[in-house]
Amino acid sequence: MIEVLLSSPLLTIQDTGRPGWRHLGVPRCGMMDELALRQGNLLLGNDEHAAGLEITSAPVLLRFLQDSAIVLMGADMQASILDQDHKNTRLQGLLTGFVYQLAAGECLRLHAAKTPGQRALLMVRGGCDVPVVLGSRSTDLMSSFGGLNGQALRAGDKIPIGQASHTPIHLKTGVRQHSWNHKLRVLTGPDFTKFDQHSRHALFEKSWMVTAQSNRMGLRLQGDSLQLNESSDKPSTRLLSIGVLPGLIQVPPDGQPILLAADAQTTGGYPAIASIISTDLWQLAYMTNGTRVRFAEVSLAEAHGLARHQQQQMDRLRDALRLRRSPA
Amino acid sequence: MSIPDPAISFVSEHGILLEFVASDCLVIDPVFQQRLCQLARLLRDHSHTGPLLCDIVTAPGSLLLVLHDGRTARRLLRHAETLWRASAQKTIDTNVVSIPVIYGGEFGPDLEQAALMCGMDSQRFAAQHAQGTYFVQSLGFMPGFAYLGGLDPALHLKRKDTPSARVPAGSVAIGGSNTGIYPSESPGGWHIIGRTSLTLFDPRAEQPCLLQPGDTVKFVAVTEHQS
Repeated sequence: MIEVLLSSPLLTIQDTGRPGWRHLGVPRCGMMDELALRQGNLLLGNDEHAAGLEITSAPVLLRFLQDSAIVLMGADMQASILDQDHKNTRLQGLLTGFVYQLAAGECLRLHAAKTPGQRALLMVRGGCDVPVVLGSRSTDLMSSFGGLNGQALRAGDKIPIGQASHTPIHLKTGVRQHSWNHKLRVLTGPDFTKFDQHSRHALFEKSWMVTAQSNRMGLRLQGDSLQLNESSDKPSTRLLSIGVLPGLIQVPPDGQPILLAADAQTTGGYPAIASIISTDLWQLAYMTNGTRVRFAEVSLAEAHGLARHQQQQMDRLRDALRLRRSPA
Repeated sequence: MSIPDPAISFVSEHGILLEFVASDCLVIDPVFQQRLCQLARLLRDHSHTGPLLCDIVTAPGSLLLVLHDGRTARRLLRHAETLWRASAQKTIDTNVVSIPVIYGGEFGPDLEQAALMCGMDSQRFAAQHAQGTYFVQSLGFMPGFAYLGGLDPALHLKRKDTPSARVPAGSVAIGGSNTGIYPSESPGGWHIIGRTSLTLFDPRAEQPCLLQPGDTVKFVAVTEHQS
């Protein structure tokens, strides 16, 4: 068990999400940086899809009620390991991408985020063992199911830890957290050609600022106003909703794009100008109020190639960690 | 019925959007929409296409096919075309779901206003709503929220300018040319005309949603006592 001594807003249990239910209106949810979750899990000998904690802000204080091994990924939140009374620090400046071991009773403190809003991830050997709902342990905050009672974690909550596999962990090996650059590669979307020339140009030539009205459902961007071609007989918005996915960039009538994220609903009626390729979706975890974002167009073939490359990198990591497994 | 060629576009490299109607089209033919829902089911169940698919989202006049690997798009579309043509001859069996509704009063706080806007009294409005045969065009907005088509044009209502902060679960409502039921409590901009005691969405149930794309829906007016 992990006991939450001090929680922060939007501290949630997430795994690789809940695909396969969009036809019933169920969003995907899951860790915003799914890549980092999978890397951390592999390092711990967990199933890649095991659930961890998504930490959106600090300070957070957790007590481990059993001997545990952990990996931190994502943004650096100045983590340290403290004793049972969280008075004395045993280890500070924990690095992302390395395994640390805690004795039963020891505490983990995430002190402060360098850039508030950029997320950190905490994976624990055995994974967070909350009930599987619709194929996933991810917390759906909008509909209040999954995770621990469908809610963000609060002080006093106790998170069950799963049975660790026999796969050994890699105390000396680390994984590299992908570094974010806020440059998102996109495919033009179904409604791209309905936008006027200025808007089609601006999407790629201008930078876009993430506003405070952003959350796990969507990031609202601010910049040039994107407008549809002027045509008196065409409606300014889609009259019928279409199925939508995380990564899609929708443009409501005010011209300010909304970038759909993990918790996005399954249908939407705003024109879809472009979509972020799946390879770059993890970067949304590190885009916060004030972040400047740029978009670059890639072809469908490039997008497929990049997705494949990313999968191969994960496969290589899995193989490399397996090779280093010491004989029993 | 003629088979329209869908416009095909990519919504992410793994998502293919098939649009069967022009974007300025407003009302979808119920029979056509049911065929789309049927195609979605066939694709999901077929041994050649099911394993390629992660998700299929039915929307009015369109399908979003989400693939595990976008590079299999061509193969999937070939199968989809075959299934679509083969299904043209088949009759569509739809599941019929009856929904008991208490119209008006505390359960339908907007009924009187809605009736007024449509130029009738609330009894007639409720009766006309209960008379219709509806079909599930799509689910969206929140888990288990079904957009029902087939609403009598006399009952069409523009959405509220200011959404209600709290719409209780089970609320039966009208928004634009659709009627629907809120599965969970949420904010909402539709006009609330009644409430059902049925559970629309339960994530822990084996069948999490009462309503599935393509289902036929009938409303049955009941009194508080009967529900």
